[in-house]
Parts: sequence; C-alpha cells; structure tokens
Amino acid sequence: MIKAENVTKRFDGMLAVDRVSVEIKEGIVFGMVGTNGAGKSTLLRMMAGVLKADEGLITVDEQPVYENPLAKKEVFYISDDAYYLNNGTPVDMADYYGAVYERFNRKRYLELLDQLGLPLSRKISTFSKGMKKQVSILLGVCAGTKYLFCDETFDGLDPVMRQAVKSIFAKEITERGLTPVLASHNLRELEDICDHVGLLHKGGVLLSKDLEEMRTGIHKLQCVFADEEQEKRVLMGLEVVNKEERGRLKTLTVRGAGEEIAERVAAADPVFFEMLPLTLEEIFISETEVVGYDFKKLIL
Amino acid sequence: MTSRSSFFKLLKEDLRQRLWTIVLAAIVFLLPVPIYIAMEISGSRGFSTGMLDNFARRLASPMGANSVWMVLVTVTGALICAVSGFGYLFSKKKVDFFHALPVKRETLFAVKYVNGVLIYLVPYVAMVLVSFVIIAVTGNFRAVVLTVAAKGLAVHLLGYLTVYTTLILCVTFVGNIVVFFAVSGWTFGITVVALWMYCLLEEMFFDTYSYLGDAFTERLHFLRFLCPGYFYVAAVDDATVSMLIQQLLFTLVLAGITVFVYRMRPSDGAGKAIAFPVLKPVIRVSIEILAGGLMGMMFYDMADNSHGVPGWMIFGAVLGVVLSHMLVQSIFHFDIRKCFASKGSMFACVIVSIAVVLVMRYDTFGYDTYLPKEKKIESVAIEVPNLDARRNNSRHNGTTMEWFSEVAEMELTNISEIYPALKVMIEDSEVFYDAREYGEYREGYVSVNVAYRLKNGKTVYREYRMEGMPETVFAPVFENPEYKEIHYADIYTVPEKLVDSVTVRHAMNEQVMSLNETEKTELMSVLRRELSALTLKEKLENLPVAILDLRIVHKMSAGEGQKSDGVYDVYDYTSELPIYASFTETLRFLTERGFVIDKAYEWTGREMMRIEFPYGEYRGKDGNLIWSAYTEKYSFDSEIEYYVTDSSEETDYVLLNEKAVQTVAVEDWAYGDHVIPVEPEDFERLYALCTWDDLKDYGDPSENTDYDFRVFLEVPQDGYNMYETYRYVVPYGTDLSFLFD
Repeated sequence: MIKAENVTKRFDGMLAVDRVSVEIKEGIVFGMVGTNGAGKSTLLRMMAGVLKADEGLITVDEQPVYENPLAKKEVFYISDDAYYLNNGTPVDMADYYGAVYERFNRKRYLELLDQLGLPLSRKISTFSKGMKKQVSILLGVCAGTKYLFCDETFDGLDPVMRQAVKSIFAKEITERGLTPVLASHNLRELEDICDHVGLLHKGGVLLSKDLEEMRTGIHKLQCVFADEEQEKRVLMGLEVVNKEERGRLKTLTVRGAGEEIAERVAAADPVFFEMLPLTLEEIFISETEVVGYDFKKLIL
Repeated sequence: MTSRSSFFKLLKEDLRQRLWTIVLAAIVFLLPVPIYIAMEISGSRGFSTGMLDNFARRLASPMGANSVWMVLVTVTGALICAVSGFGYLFSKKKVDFFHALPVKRETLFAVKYVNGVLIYLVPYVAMVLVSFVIIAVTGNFRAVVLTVAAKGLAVHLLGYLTVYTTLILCVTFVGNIVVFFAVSGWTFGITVVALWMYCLLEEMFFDTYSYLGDAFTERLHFLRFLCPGYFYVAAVDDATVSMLIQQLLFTLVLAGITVFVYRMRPSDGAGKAIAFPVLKPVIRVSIEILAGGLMGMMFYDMADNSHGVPGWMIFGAVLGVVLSHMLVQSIFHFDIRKCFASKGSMFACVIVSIAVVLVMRYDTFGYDTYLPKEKKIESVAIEVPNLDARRNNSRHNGTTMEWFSEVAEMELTNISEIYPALKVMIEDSEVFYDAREYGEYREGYVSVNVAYRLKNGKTVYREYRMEGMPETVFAPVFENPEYKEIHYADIYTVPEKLVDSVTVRHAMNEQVMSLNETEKTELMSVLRRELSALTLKEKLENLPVAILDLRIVHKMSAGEGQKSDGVYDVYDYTSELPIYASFTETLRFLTERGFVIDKAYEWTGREMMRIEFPYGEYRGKDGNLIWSAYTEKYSFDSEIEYYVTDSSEETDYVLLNEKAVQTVAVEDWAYGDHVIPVEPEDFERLYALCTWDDLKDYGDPSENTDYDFRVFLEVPQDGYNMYETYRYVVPYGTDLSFLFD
C-alpha cells in the first residue's frame, strides 16, 4: 500500500501540494484527477521518490520512498514528458531498465512490443507521441514493480490503444496484483479504467473514494409524473442532489441505494420512470457539491 | 542497496550513453601524441650517446607535466565529462528519469563520476603505452621517458580530478547550461579576481607598495584552497610532492562536498538558474562588490583625480555595482524585468564597494605606515637599489657565479638595532609622499626595498622613498655584517683558490694582475676585512678611488660522446667592487703590483674633448645665460595644452603644458646641439675638474646627477684610425665660464 500522510511540497515558496493524505491500496487502478496545477504530478513525483516532501511522509509498503531503493524497486514512474536515452531504441531502454529493475521481464516486453507493432530497433526519437507513450507503458508494465505511476500517460493514445493498454493492465492486475496509479486532468480518460479516484484541487485532496461505492450511492433517473402532487410525494422521500426539467420530463440525481429509490418511485406509479447509468463526471458533480465545490469549475 | 553486479551494469549502461565522449577521448589521446613522437623519431638524424637522454626527454615531453597539449586535453576533458555525466541535472525530464530509478543518489553519482574518470584515464594510459612502444622499438627508450610520463600522468590525472570534481560541483549548483558556465567561471575565478583587484588597489593607492615578492602569487598560494584551479596550474609549473599531496587531499574533500551537495540538491532545481537559493546572494554580492571595486578603480584612473575628492571613483563603484546587479539578476530570473530585484541588497553592495575603494584610497588601515611589532619580526631584508648601482647581486655557488635576489636572501636578525632605522624610513617616506601629493616635485630621492619576514611565516614587502640617505639611519644597516655578506656576496663567497686574476681600473688606467696562491689568499683576506670595516659615512662622502673585479675560473669536462673530450676552463667574474681610500691594505697590495692610483694623464695633443650640457644651456654663477643651444624661441598661446609626438617614439604621445611645449619644440629645432667641443687649451683645466663617470654610480644614491655636465675625452688608439671615448662628469654648479672666455 502507498500511504501519503500530511504531505506538503512548495516550489519557491508556492504551495504545490498542501497537507495531502491519501492511501492507495494494492490491486486497484487508482485515478488521480485534477486541473492543471492541482498537484497531481508533484504528488506522483513524490510518491516515486523523485521529490522529497517538505513535510509529511510517503511510504510504499510501509517504507519511506525517498532515497530508498528497496521501496523504489516497487515503483515505476512514467512522467508526462518521459525521457528516452539518447539515440535509444526500445531495446536499449529495456537494457537500461533491466540493469536497475531486477524483475524486469524482457521476454514479455519484447512480446508486447511485437503485439503492439512497435519496432524494436528504431530510435525512439523517431516515434510518434502515442508510440512513445506505448513504449513507456510497456517498460513500466514489464519492470516487475508492484506500482506503476502514469502521469497523463493516456493522453495521446488512440481508443484502440487505450483498450489494448487496459487489457494489459487487467492481465497484470489479475496475474501479479499490479497497482496502476493514473494521473490525468481528463476525467473521461479515467472513467472506464479506474477503481478508485482521488480528486486533487489546489494542492489538496478534495475527495478520495472507491468508484463502485460512489456509483452505488448515487443514481440518475428520468421520470414523468402524473401531476405535481405525485411529484412532491415522490421527491419528499428522496435525497435529490440535482434536478433538471425538460417539459414534463424530469431528470433527477438522487443519493441512496438504487433498489430503494426504484421501489419508492415505482410505488408512486409515475407516468414514466427509468434508472440511467451515471457518468463519472456526474458522480463527481454531486460528490464535490457535498464538500462545497462546484465541480464544473474545478475540472470541466 | 545496489548490488555490485548492478553497479557494474549501470556503469556499462552509462558508458553506452557516453559513447561519443569515449570516441572523442580515443582520438584526442591516441592520435596526436604518438604521431608527434613518430614524426620526431623519423625526423631525427641520430644522436651521440650524450644527447640521447635529451632526445628521449623531448620525445616524452608531450606526455610530461608541463605539456600544454595535455593541459588543454585535461581541462576540456573535465568539462566534457562533467557535463555529459551530470548535465542531466539541467533537464526536468532527465532528472525524473534518473531519480525515479531504484538507485541511491550516491550510487548514481559514483557511476557517473567513475565513468568520467575512466573516459579520461583509459585512453591516457593507452596513449602512454603506445608511445612507449614507439619509442622502444625505435631504440630511443631511456629511464627519463618513464620518469617524464609518470610525472605527467600524476600531475594531469590529479589535475583532471580536481577540475572535473569542481565542475561537477558547479553542475549541481545550477539548473541551466549557460548559468553553469557562468558559475564555473565564478568558482574558478572569484578568488583570483578578488585578489587581483586587491593588489591593483594596493598598487594604485599605496605609496609604499612594492613590486618585489610577487604578492599576488604569494597570496594566491595562501588562498589556494579557495581557488580550485591553483593546484593544477602550480603542478604544471613545478610539481612538488608536498603540493601534489595537498591537491589530492583538497580533491578528496571537494569530492565529499560534491557528493553531499549532489544528494541535497532538490530535483526541482532543473531548469532554474541556481538550484540552491542560498547560493544566489553569495554569488551576486561577491560579483557586485568586485565589479564596483574594479569600475571605481577604472574611473579613478581615467579621471586622474588623485588629488581631489574621488567623485569619479565613487561614480564608477556605483555604476559597477548597479550594472552587475542588473546582469546577475536578469540571469538568475531569466527575465530582464527582474534586473532590479533585491534593491536593498544592491544598495548595501554599493555602500560596501564605495567603502572598499575609499578605505584603500585614504589608506584607512595604515598600509603605508605599517611597521610590524619588533617582537613579531623574524628578520628583515633591506635593499637600496641605487647603492652601488653598477653592481649586480651574484654569489658563488661552489661551481660558478649565480644571480640572486638581495631582498629574497637577506636576513638581518639584529632587529633591535635596525628597528629605529625602519621607523625613520617610514616617517621620511610619509613626508616624501605627502610633499609629492601636494605638488612638490622631488628630483633626487633614494628608494629602499624592505622585506619584513614575520615569525608567523608571512613576508611583507614595502618600498620607501626619501629625500636623502641619512647616515645615522642607514649606518646600522649597512655596517651590519649580515647586510654586507649579502650585498657583497660575490666577494664573500668566492673560494680564494678559484680566483684567477684581478683587474683594477680607474678610467683609462687599467691593470690586470695574475695571482699566485699566496697572493690570492692575501688579497681576499684584506679585501674582505676592509670591506667589512667600510662605514656608510665614508661610502656616502667619498667616491671610490678604483674599481676592482675578480676573474674566477672553474674546470669543465667535455661531455661523454662530445667532440672534445678534454677539460677546459670556464671564466666568471665578480661584480665590479668599489675600492675606497680607506682600503689601505688592498691599495697597498695593488700598488705593490704596479697599479698607480692617481696616474696623471699624459696628453699627446691628438685628443679631442667635448662637453654636454644636459639641458642645452650653461648659466654662470649669477644665473646669467652664458651659452644656449637654442637659437630661436617659439611663442605659444599661454594656458594651452598640447599633445606632441615624442621625438624618439613616434607612437607615444605625451601631454605637456605650455612651457614644456616650448622647450620640446626648441629642443627639436636644436636637436643634437647640447654637446659642444672644448678648446685644446682648456683640456687640462677641465680634466682636472672631472670625475670618472663610473665612480658616480658608487656615490650617494640620493644624489641627483641629471644636471651634471658630461665630458667626453676621445683618445686616439695607437695603430688604428679610431678613438676610444672615456666618460667623465663635472658636478652641476662647477664654474666652467673659462670654457666660454
């Protein structure tokens, strides 16, 4: 488990990360979302042992990560602007990482390169942005670490490649319990891959929740009521977070257990009633409102 | 933890990344020197046995300690390896890459550091081996080749380590390649420039500043641990084991500091000007104060306001600080708009700079009046350069005569006797310079160099000037045996048995005497005794009656293999020694062997005589002009200053006032007319007033002889259609009106 406790980081007196506490459990895909400048990269760099926290402590499997090769052996960090060795090819990169990551799986790396159609011996500097990202991800996956930190790594990948990467992640998670930590400013990038999401804003964590837990605790429904009296009766018993109206069609975001909500609305016998899936964005809108923020201003 | 195998894997991977430096090093090391050696050998025509060592030394010289090529390769190599190994610290994405690896920073440092050394050392050793092979297979290998190459390797490798480590430290200080070069310059040069500025200020503002002793180098040596480049430069010049050991220790400490700084360096330093904020004021303030001081000096010099309030100097100091502040702040912030950031600090630097130059200008700390406490002085050296002006400082080293510095060698230890003289010298010097500052031009003065050797090991040099050379002040110095043994060292050190002959002269009266063993002993004995007894009073009040020098001989064998295998004589001479009337025993010795002191000149009637009036005119006792070289006077507008070309050096311009322009112009008109012939009937009368010119150089050093009349006696040479000229002087003020009757 990765644990950050009251971590603070300043750059030239400016607060980049402010007393952040967050836990990342093993075997999940952790999404770290926030606007540019929210502190995602800084937090990731501290978690990877690149930066030293001014205050607080970050541990990887209960060991401080900064200047601790034992802890860092379990971490692979892919920067948003990754460095590739001068004139380096994918094979050169594997050689280099193979010298420092004892469990680096060269065979699998070469297989994956082949699967993704990436040339082994061409200079990476001639690759497209997406190809470079793929090489980084494969290096990270094959390094054999428990944790893989990806900073804006999915930015630039096409949908097909995203799916491919997702399936690679899924396999690694299943087979050896890899824990990817994905930082992105784009919520939609994380929506279909993350199990747990942390929201960073102005250097602090606004919330950190399990996605499934969030999904089960909030629902969207569309309904058409027979009259206002019926509507009032139904809504009175629900914790409505958001309500939109288009003529008689009401779209409600309601907090609570899904079955209970469905039963309650069905019992009132509306003209029309349907439960809809919530997007991550909608979930965040409601969740951030709870803590007093307008999510649309934060991330969209 | 990093396992040993992992360390070596990293070494290998890092080397792969620095392939270009390896190739460059291989070319630079393996081509020029071996090719040079091969060319030298192919161009040689064969040598005699005695010359082979020299040839072998010449072949090995490109690998030697003072090889300029190796210095160039070493410094450039250190720069390239420092940047190629640690330059990743300038790039955020490279820092993220390397610092995210599960490797301790010390290990990463060690990998890159060791590779930087290997990239230099391996091709260097290969170059030495290849050169050895070339020299050996051509039959030129001698032990000296090994010695020269080994010494060269030690000096350059150590020099490389020092420079390389310092440059790595500079890399860790900064986050940008351009700033790296600037900070490297600062690191290597700040001590040198500060010291240079201090010495310049001393030279400019202190009257008693002495050029003896090379204060700059001595101080730099004292501050060598603040000047990383000093050790290498010193070792290239003259490598001593002691200095090499000091350099090694210095480099080890420097490496330790560099590792520490490297560890402490924040990863977010990449891209910034300076990675450690605490360094910024240190660098900035030091540069600003130095710039202020240097600009202050420059403006002071340009404005020549040494007599007034040094307004231009203050202006220069302010300008220097402000301009350097703007420059440094713009670089630190990468933004010209930030050039006036930290104004408070800038004003503080302005005040400090002004204070520094003013303190020096007005000698606040009493440099010119400094006299070490008597109990702190170990010994003193006192040199009066114009005392016995014709003599040089030489001594016999057992084989031959060698030159030495009187100030460097003299150690007067009777401090209590000399101390009052030193006090008077300082007081008189102060009076002399005060008078000069207020426009009183001093024509004749005596200059005295003093070296105070203190018990703490420091040596302080001063040059005092005073109007005269008071006997009461200088007698304790001159009559001190320790002084005479150095001042007349040639006479005291020459072994009697090596004296071959003695030459004694007075004008055209010259006699060479060969001496037997007994005579040598006798002459040297009486000469030394009477020289030791010579008082300053006698020396200042009387001119010598003759000049004597000794010819010294030593045998030299022809070298092995040289054409001549015999033994031949090599001659040296002592410096010309004045013989005074008080040297009665010496004079008796000489006269007994035929030397006539007051030999009257026998006129043949074929002589010519001329007299020179140095300023082109002769005035009688009442001041009336009796003779003038100038036939025409030019009139000039008064209050006008002219630039005129010096007649002797056309490129040199001299600023003269109105009166001087008149003089120069007229002198040009009458150039060469200062010398007039003397009528034959006046020869004997004039000759009776003459003093042999050479003797004047042994008189009172404070006496101004510029105005003396110079007499040239031209004597025909028997058998030749030519004349030999003898020079005499007649003191200024002597009545010569008979020449114009």
